Amino acid sequence: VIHVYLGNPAPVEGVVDPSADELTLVALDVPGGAVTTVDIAHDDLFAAVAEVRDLWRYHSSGPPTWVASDHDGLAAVLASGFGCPAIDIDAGVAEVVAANDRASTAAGDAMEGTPGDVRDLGDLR
Amino acid sequence: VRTNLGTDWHARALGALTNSKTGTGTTAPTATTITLDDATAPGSTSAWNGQLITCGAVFGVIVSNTNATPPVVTVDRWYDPTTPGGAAGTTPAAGRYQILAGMAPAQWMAITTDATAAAATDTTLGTEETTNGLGRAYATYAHTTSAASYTLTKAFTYTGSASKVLAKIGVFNASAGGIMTFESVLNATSTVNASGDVTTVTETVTL
Repeated sequence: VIHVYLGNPAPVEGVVDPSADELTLVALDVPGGAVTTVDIAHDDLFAAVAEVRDLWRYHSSGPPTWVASDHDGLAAVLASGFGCPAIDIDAGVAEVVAANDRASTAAGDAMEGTPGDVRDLGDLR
Repeated sequence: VRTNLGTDWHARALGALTNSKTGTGTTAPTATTITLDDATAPGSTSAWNGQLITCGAVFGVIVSNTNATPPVVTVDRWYDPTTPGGAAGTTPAAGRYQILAGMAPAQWMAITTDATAAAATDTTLGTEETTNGLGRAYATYAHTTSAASYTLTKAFTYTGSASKVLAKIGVFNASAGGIMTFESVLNATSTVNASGDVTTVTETVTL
């Protein structure tokens, strides 16, 4: 399995309108950006490049800021195609952790109330 | 469309740490079967459908079982964990087996020329392509941190010569048979005309 990580400065997520069964891409507000993780379970590099380039538009509204992979050749090809730098795989993995931390912090900031508040949630039965 | 079976699959995959089983087999497994020699009849022929079974260094996706003592479990194939999308793994020797709780991930993508609307009640993909590079294949998974969706992508490289207009895909949890969890008409048909033509399909799954 080949792992690819891409710095995602403008992340989007898919939302489906159930009445129309149509997919809409909605921007995600993640200060500092997100990271997109790709797992490729074959060794056809031509197909891998095609797949990463195709899937990217369903994850971001902008070009990646960096790419990392445990396959150096694939990282180089993707970086060249996207016009961004290839970074070390360990740095890419660390960015995944950092992006999750940023997202958690942003979600916490968005919550109402302060830690320790007790709110009446009504009858939940 | 998430199929009705896909909804059941999703619920069990995420929330059910039940229905696991372990034991030791003495009958040599075949390329697609394993006998649970120390188990009794499970009560139905779909007792563990969609779950993973491990034996030795490989695993398989259970697609059916006999309701007999001992039960014989049929898997789609044996997988080498290091190359799940590659060739089938080596058939294991008889020994310790374990049926895991939860469900096998749905990462196999199938494609068809059938343009009939997708329906939640569908359980198979009509006229599923099986040859010339268009057969069911292990898709590339991608997820963005904090996004409530993920994608499955497959670049199909055609090796045939007859023109085909591809119109719909299905996502399954096994390389053959298995549970069709999602079915989607392509937002635009894709025509392959000659060997070497490539069509890349991305399915977005919302969580």
